[in-house]
Amino acid sequence: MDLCCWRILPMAESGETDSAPRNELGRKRQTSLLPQRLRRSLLCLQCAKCSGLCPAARVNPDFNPRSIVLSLLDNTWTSLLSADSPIWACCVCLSCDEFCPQDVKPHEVVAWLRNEAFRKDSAPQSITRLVGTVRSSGASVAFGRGLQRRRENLGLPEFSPTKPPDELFSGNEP
Amino acid sequence: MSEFLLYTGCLIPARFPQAESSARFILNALKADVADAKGLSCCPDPVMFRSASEDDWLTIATANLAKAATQGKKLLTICSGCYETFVDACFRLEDADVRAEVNKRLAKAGLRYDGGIEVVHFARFLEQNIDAVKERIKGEVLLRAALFYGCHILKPSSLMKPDSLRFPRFLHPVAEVCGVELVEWDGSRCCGMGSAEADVGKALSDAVVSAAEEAGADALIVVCPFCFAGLEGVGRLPVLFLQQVVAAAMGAPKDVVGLALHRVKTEIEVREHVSA
Repeated sequence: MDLCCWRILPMAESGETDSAPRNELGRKRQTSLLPQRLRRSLLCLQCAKCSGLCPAARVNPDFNPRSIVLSLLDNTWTSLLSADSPIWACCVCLSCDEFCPQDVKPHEVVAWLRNEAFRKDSAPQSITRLVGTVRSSGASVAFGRGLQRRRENLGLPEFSPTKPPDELFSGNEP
Repeated sequence: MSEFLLYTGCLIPARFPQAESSARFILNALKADVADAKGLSCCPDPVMFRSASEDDWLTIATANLAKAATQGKKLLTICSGCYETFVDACFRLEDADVRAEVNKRLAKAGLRYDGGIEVVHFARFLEQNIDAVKERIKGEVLLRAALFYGCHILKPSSLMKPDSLRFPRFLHPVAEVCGVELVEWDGSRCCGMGSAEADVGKALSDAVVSAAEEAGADALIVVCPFCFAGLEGVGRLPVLFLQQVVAAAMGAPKDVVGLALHRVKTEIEVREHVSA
């Protein structure tokens, strides 16, 4: 599946980063297996502007966008693929993507890690449940007869979402 | 084919139908060329659903865009989540490779997307039609409030094009034309509802409400149902959808504005203009 730019290219071909095998922290860089859209992570300066701006990091110090990008560079990211991982604290406010001086897009890294966790059946139940609800009802939230009455009182038509075509779900294949 | 296609999403019709009835009242009052989008599913949301699978998120969003493109020219969303999903999907689909791959998937359901639909947020629709809105205002809303933009009508700024990320003002005229006195504050914070950790959401919503209180606001005005849920959940300040304020100023009946459904009880006091 090559939908969201999952082209895996060796770094040498892109010419967009230097060829040093180690970054300034002396860590070995993960260079060849990054999906295309995460390749800019290689330009990360570890300046921590993302962490400073991050509202989730202010509340949950275990969540730190800078160290999440670093986990990609030093190839320790698989340790983040669990239901109680800090990656789930992210609020998707997109401030990190917006203000990164190197245009690294730390939220894209978080989103990719979350997808990987879901693929490995390691996402929080709330996420799995949500996907199931959308698939079976066409809506992201449950609703019942009480709602239709409230809608009627406001002069609104019945709420009847359409299910998305089942063929469009890729399921949980590796 | 109508000019606007109203897409209500799920959270608003299922949890906050007062935001839908107010929006429909305004569209009616403005005599907008609008029809209901038919046969569409959940957008799906750009936070939780996208966290499960970006591929499925983009595919289902494109299926909705494909169906919408046969029914109208502009998809009008009343939720910032739906707005983010569709605007982001449209941007990704500009890449011919991505579009070809998505269309390969859509073909399995007999669908195809070739562009041709514009996505508009209802709040921006009000902003763009401010003169027509002004003409239909019948009274002055007596309220001092903090206008909260939230994240997804602002970012990514390359697509949403706000006037400012930190201190946005582009929706201020919509509230001000209704007579609302807006306090000066940082209305671009994050409500925290996007987090899968409930504690993070609660702490951030609480911080937003505290900032609004410090700025001297008696209520919060929002444009997104996720922000509404988070900020009303704090329980200290009443929260209103922007369209409820506009509908009230246009003279909408109480059972259309739907304040009885709010947990933090409030009334919108309107002083009618005296006709000369």
